[in-house]
Amino acid sequence: MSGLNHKAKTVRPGRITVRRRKQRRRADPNSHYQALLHMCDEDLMLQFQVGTVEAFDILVSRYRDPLTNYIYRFLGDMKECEDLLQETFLRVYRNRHSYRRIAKFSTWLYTIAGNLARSEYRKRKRRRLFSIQSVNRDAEEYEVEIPDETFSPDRHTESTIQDHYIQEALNQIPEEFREVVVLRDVQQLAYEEIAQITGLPMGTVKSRINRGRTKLQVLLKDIYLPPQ
Amino acid sequence: MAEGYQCTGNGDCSSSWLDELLCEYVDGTMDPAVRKAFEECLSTDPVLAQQVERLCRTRTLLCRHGCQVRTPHGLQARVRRRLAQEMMHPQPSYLSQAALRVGVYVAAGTVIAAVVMAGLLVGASWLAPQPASIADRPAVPPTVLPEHLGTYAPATMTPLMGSPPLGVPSFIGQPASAPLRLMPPASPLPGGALNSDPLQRTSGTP
Repeated sequence: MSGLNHKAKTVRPGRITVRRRKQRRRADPNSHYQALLHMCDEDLMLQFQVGTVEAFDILVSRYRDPLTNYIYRFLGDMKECEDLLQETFLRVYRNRHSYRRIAKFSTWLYTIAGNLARSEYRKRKRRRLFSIQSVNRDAEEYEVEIPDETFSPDRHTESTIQDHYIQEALNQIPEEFREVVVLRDVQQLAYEEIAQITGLPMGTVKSRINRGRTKLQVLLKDIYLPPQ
Repeated sequence: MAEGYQCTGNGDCSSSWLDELLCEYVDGTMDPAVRKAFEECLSTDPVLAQQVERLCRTRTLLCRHGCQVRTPHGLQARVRRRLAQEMMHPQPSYLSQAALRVGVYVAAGTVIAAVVMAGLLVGASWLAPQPASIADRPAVPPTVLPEHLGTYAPATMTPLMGSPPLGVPSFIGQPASAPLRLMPPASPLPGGALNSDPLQRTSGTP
């Protein structure tokens, strides 16, 4: 009898705690997600390192547009841009434990994306060089069908026209200038952050930004003219 | 922009300090005191002022229209799908990767060591001392010979006292026109008096 009493005493409090936990779990999802939404990137990354996958989702939704702009403006190709975007976020997922809070999350993310974009750009350049060499090697004449990619402004809005010209101009300037100009003028990053992402001294970053803009203003001079 | 300030090339520019100043001015990050001095400088240099104006317009254009690209539709879902795929086929653990790496290094080291050893063996077999041929033997210093032999004896002629080289007849070294002079027998002369001077014996004097 005394044993039964003892069991009853020990079980009751346990049941109560289980019920309370269940109630907490039911109430958690929304509030927890809301709490995550208000966190800064670095805190989200910490949460993600602990195992909260929602934090990764929030980081992806925060950075997908800026990263798209950065990679697209650097490469000038939307398909490659999407591949690199996916690869960047996958690398963040894989290497989440190598992130340390001493660096800003955005710097770390842009460094990953920048490295990927740079290597992709060089690969593409090598591919082009190789294809030109292989064509030149043979004496035979080829009839190559080149797709007509000419831009027809009448089919586009003013904003799209400007977007197109900006991209064309960016594609024409050297890679080292393009990268810093995009990071500064498109992404609005600070010089210190750009220096960290590119691994260049601050003075070099500033002078490259100015040289890039100087080259761009020649190419974009038609856009400055008022519309007729 | 053909006129006015232009940067020269991609490499180091002598006007890099001006680049930095222009960048800071256009971005609005310049120190107020420096900015004031720079604006005074701009008021005296209309070419530079025009350049700065164009740079400002370029920056405005890039800021306004550069960031209008939108993410492709459904990117997040595709990222999730790829992550799910990756989790289905997890990558090898750090430990197995490290073990694999160590294995590769050990194999590479073994191959390199084997190549080095083979090279050493081949080199040693090539450099080992070989028996010198007759032609390679060092020349015997010229022997001072009597006058009557001097004209015929080449500088490297084996002295008559010495034994000829193995397999070489003793008359080699004498001119064809000269009478053949054979070496005397090694046994003492029947006369009993052993003449120790072989030249005397070959000269034919009694």
